[in-house]
Amino acid sequence: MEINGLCKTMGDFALKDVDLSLPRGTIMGLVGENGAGKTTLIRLLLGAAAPDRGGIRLLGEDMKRENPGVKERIGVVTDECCFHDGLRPKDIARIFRALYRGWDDGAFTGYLRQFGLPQEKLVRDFSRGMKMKLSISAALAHHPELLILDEATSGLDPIVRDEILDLFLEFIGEEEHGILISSHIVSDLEKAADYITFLHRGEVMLSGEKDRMLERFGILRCGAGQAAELEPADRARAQEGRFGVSLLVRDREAAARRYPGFVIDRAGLEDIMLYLSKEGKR
Amino acid sequence: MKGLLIKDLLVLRRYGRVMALLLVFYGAFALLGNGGAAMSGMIAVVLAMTAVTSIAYDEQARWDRYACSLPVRRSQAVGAKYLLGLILTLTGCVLGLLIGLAALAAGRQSWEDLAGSLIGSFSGAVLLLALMFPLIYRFGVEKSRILFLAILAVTGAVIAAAALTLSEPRMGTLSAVRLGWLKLAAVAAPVLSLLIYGASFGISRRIYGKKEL
Repeated sequence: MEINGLCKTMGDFALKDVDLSLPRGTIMGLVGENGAGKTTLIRLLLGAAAPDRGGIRLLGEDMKRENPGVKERIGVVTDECCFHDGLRPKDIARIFRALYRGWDDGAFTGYLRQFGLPQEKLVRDFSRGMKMKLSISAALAHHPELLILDEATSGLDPIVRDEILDLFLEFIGEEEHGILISSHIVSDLEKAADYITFLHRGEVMLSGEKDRMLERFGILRCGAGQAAELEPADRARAQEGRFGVSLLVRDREAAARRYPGFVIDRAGLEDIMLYLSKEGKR
Repeated sequence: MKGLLIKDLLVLRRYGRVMALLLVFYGAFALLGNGGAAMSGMIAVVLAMTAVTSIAYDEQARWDRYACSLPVRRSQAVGAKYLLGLILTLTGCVLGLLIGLAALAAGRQSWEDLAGSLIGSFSGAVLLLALMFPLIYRFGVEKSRILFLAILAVTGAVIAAAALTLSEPRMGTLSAVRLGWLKLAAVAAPVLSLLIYGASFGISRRIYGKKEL
């Protein structure tokens, strides 16, 4: 997946110059607060809305025009189950068999069995977790190469989320596969993603390898008095809290050299997201 | 497109019982009352309108946005709805014909009435859908219903006004239209309505093609 200079204005919201690249065999986590532009970006990827500017290539093909051939190779799960209440899993198999050339009834039945979903039950009688599992089963049963997941784990309990994340990790075991997963549950992405892109108010604030981010980013903490020793640019970014001042640093080792004697902890993805988000609001 | 059509038919399946009840109701009216022809014709219109219901179900399930991820072009999605509309209208006509034949056997109506009713209801149902589909694709089901009622009200008012302004001798002239012309109208009405349906598909395809979902 390659996105170049993607722009889209919708009312008072604008997605600005988004550049992204997802290599095969990897999972990219798209993270950001509600309204950051994650769903808008995915809508543009799928052709549900047209970009004002910029280009999208999925699985090597330009998505400027409708491209059903590429859609054959993509599986999508959104935050809401879009199957009608009056359908049953076996109906969904019947529909998708006619839609996808690569539809695999055996695989679909296998996923249903793995998730404990009954073939005969109506979608309306499924719990939210069951609906999500059904959507995932349908998205995987035509053997896609790219999975696009929009808040697919939101609103699910930790056990179901873990079960689903394991399935995604199994999917990515094939080196030709790729996953783009948007979520505001950072712990899920911390577990599964190889790359992280942090969107804030329609802009990419940060994008890169997750392990490298976790290795390099840190939180510098100091008392209010010690804060005077910070360089002006850093002092401007520092955030005051109940126990002093803290600051997100992009290179822990360089920061430790610059500020010997200061406490610099490792930063988790959630810390990075929160600090960048607050910096972005200034 | 076949998959979308299967989806629509499976989703409308729950509507089947209501339809069966309606069929019994119209059948009973046709066989016991004197309005057999009208009842036969009603079925096609009622069934055709379930194509609109299927779009309402799609809106409810937020299907359209999801459908963007499927290997289907937008024009095919619109085509599936138009095809569904035709299938339902024709199914209604066949059911109407069966009821009409029963009423005919019971001596409740004439061949001419039955044929006129079926041709009229087919053409009417197809025209209704041809008008409603573009409105729905542009404004959504809820707003379109209101717009549609407004259009019907205005059309009704225009027809009523026209009827009132026609003097009695003119009406007499109209009623003296030769049978040959009526036969021509019977052939022309379905053909014309299908042509309008085709043009309506073109408009809906253009509207839906540009729509942000």
